[in-house]
Amino acid sequence: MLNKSLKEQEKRQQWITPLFRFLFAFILSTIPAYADNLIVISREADSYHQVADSIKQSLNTNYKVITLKELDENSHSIGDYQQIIAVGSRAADQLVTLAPADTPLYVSFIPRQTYSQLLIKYADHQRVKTKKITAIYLDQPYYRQLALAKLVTPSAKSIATALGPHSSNDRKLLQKAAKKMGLELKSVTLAETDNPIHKLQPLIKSADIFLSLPDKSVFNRTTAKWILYISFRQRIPLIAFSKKYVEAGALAAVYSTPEDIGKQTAEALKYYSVRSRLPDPTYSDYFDVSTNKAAANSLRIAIPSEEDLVEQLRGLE
Amino acid sequence: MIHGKVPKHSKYLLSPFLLAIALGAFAQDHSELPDFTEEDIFMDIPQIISATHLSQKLTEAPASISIIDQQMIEASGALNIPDLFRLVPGMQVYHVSTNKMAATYHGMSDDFPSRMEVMINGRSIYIPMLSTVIWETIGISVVDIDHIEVVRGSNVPTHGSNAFLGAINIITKSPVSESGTQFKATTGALGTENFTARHSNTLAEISYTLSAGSQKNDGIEPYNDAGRNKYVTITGSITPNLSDTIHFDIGATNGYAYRGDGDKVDPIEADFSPREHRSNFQDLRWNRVLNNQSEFELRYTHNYLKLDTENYNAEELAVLESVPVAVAELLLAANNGIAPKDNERGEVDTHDISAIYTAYPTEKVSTVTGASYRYERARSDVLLQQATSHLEGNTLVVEYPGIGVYDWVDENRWKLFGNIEYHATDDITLNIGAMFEESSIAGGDISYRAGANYALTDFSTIRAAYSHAHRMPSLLEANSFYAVDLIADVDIYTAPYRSMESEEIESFEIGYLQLWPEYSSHIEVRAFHEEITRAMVRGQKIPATDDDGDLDISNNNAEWTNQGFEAQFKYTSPATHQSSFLLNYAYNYTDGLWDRGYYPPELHRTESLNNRTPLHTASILVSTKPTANSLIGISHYYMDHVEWLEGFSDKNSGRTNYTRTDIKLSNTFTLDTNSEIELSLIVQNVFDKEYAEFYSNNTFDRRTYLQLGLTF
Repeated sequence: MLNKSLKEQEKRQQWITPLFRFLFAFILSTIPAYADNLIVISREADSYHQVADSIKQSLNTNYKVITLKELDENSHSIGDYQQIIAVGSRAADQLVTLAPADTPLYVSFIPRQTYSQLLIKYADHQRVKTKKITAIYLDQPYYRQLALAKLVTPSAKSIATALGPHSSNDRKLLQKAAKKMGLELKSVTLAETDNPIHKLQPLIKSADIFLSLPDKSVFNRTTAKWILYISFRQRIPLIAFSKKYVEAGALAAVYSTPEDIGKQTAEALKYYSVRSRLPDPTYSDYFDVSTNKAAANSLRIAIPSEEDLVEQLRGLE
Repeated sequence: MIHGKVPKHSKYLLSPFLLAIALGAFAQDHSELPDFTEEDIFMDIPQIISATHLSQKLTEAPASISIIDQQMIEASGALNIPDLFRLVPGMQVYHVSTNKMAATYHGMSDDFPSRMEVMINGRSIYIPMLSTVIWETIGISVVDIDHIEVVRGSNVPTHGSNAFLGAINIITKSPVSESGTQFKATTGALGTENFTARHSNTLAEISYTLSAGSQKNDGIEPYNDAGRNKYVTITGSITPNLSDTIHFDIGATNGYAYRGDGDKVDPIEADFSPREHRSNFQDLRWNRVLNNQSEFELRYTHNYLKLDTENYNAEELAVLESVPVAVAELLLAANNGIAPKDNERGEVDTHDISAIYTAYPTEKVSTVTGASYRYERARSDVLLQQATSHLEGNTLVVEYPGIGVYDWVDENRWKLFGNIEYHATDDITLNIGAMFEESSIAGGDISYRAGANYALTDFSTIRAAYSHAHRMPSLLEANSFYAVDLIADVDIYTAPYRSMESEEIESFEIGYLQLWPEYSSHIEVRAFHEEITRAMVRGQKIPATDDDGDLDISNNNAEWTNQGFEAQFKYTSPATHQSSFLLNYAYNYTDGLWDRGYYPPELHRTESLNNRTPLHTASILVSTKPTANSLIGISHYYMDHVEWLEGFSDKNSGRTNYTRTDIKLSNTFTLDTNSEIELSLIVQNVFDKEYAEFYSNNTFDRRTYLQLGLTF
């Protein structure tokens, strides 16, 4: 079914695309040059601007950057842009319907699960049906996180994690990734009504390494202090999902910065300009590794440098 | 942070359509945007260190913070908590008598250091009846401590009036971090017999630690100033769900410590006598994570302390006053039987309720706002007898209902406080904090601090901070009245003078901090200028209706400046059997004046305060683990000559500068996976270079202890 519709679409594109290109070129010649592409950021915040700046720096095209609020308030016309990039979940949610259905929409800086939910929410929308939408995920593939865990603790046989309201949907994916890495996965699902010490203490004790997965902020905040505390006391290395988590005491984390996501988004835009079709949704190939040397010292373990860890992770992919 | 890019291939290219099918759970609600967004991944994870009530990195705090960690505690061989502060730059520690200790920051102290707030897990243990901390009554011992945070420099905007020159927060070991039972026994010099026991466990909803101890020694010759202390505490955490945490801390102590005049060589003249103590405390703290950007904490604490000293009986009084026993009996009757061998007695009760709201409204801003109410009351038949006074010309006229008449004196104190941390750029962090305090006995004051930190690298920062703060008079300073009816007349020793103003401090500091996290090492330097005005220093005389010239008033009668710098360097080797080196040094030049009033009555006297702070203070701690089970710790302390504000003041006194070297040797024998025995030898003042602390004959010679620990 899917393949059939794709073929039909390709056939249509044989004549539609040149026509559209001609029309686009005509329209573009009549509007100011800056209006090539539009970047809509979810709100006024450094991280969103960093994504936008990174996209602009990676490409030579003109971009206009506006916030979602500005878009709402000024009734900014978005019909004149060749491509639209939504930075963040809220911008993505609005632009799926606001942007013309035939203008390619790049959803950037969004968690994978959230993007999947968007597709379900707008499953009947023309854009989703015609695949005029793609995504650059902010979060990291499980394989990469587990690979980092193995690199800092090569002897680890088991890995534990606490699943929250969102990450619990990924239990099977995670299990599969762990198995592939030769790690036994031990997990518990933590609900708001659970006693964190009661659930986390035996869990952390039972494994060689603990992996903290991103979830809703409240879940992250309420569990982080106990995870940091108990793992530190039990001398269990903690692999986290952000630089801030590492600064707070986790041993290491692999993550993509806003700049990384911007670069990956620019690559998706380049892909379209070359192949005239949107790439599939993807994780960022650009990533950073942070380690906490004080934590390593406390755990009495020697871990490779951040440079080596990045190199080794790249090698594994 | 290191950057990488993987070659382009499709390992992670997952079909969003297939994923969407797999994630059927999400299909339940099609209209709402998922509540899990990029902001959840980039959220702040709270740090552990706190100087402003906010969770902050050391490199972003607006003050110098010294951490006394577990490794330092173990290596130091300290047997009591104040001794640990010898490892903090700029702090001085001394025995007032063998079993009464004091710790001060930047000198300028008598036997009641009053200008540092001291807390246990955030609960103040400052005693307003004596304007100080009475260390032997606090209900914990060294084995209970996880680590100590010392904020060096005025911290009033965060912790209020008592934190005039700094703040100490002792963090005890959490029951979440340990389980099992520990016993420790220490025996040795001065007839020391110390026992401590701890048991931690986690039950269904609650993690708790039960801790108890008994400490005793016979004191030093010839005073035999013995002491004994027993305590029991239960601390714990209740975590009914992910968002709520309730901490509790309940305990009680009792015991005694001998007090006397260590400047007198003759033990009879020194007149040591026991001061008994009995205390209890309750601390209840509820913390709730409201949402991803805010937290709330509500806290109630209660502290109670009763100190009791003996009265002279008629026979003893007759000898003391060289009068017949019959006259002594008359004297006792005239004074309601009050003839204390030591003045440090009375009861004090404090209730404190506080609410703190912490918010992280944007990526760049963190705020904390709070309010607290404290009710404190005290009564003492010696220190707080009822009286009023007024000036007639230059003479103080004291009025009182009768000798030995006393009742509770109390104070209501409100606080409103806040701090905002603003990350102006990636490199610049600004902190602005303020505290408004309103007291029923001292009016209202506003204290504030502004600090700017500039990050040179991820791990080094320079800091500049300015603070303007106040310390309100305590219950004692505002109400002190003590008089003795001598039948022929009344002799007044202390009297309330007038409504005193708050002490004031203006301080400016520049700091540099360089961390080497891979070695748990750092270097920290702080240069400071502190200007203290309207200070309340006991010992001002005033012509009074009682004109025998020994009437002391509490008054804003001193001012001084402190200028200098402090440095700490710590290096820890990353080797498996760790070694570490810690160096502290402080240089503090004090220049000030102390108005001693009229003594003799016709002569107004002003004294220099320049020698009331040691110019140099230093300490070194070296520790190494030759094997996985053994530890050698060597500490060396130096303190320059100082004349404390109490006791014998003479450059020829025994209190010259001193050095002291302590050593701890320890070995652990593993019995099985869960049990071990630790045997330690601790020798304090190993070279036996006898020196005097505080009083000129309060000598400290070599003291050897043996310690046995059992963990299972």
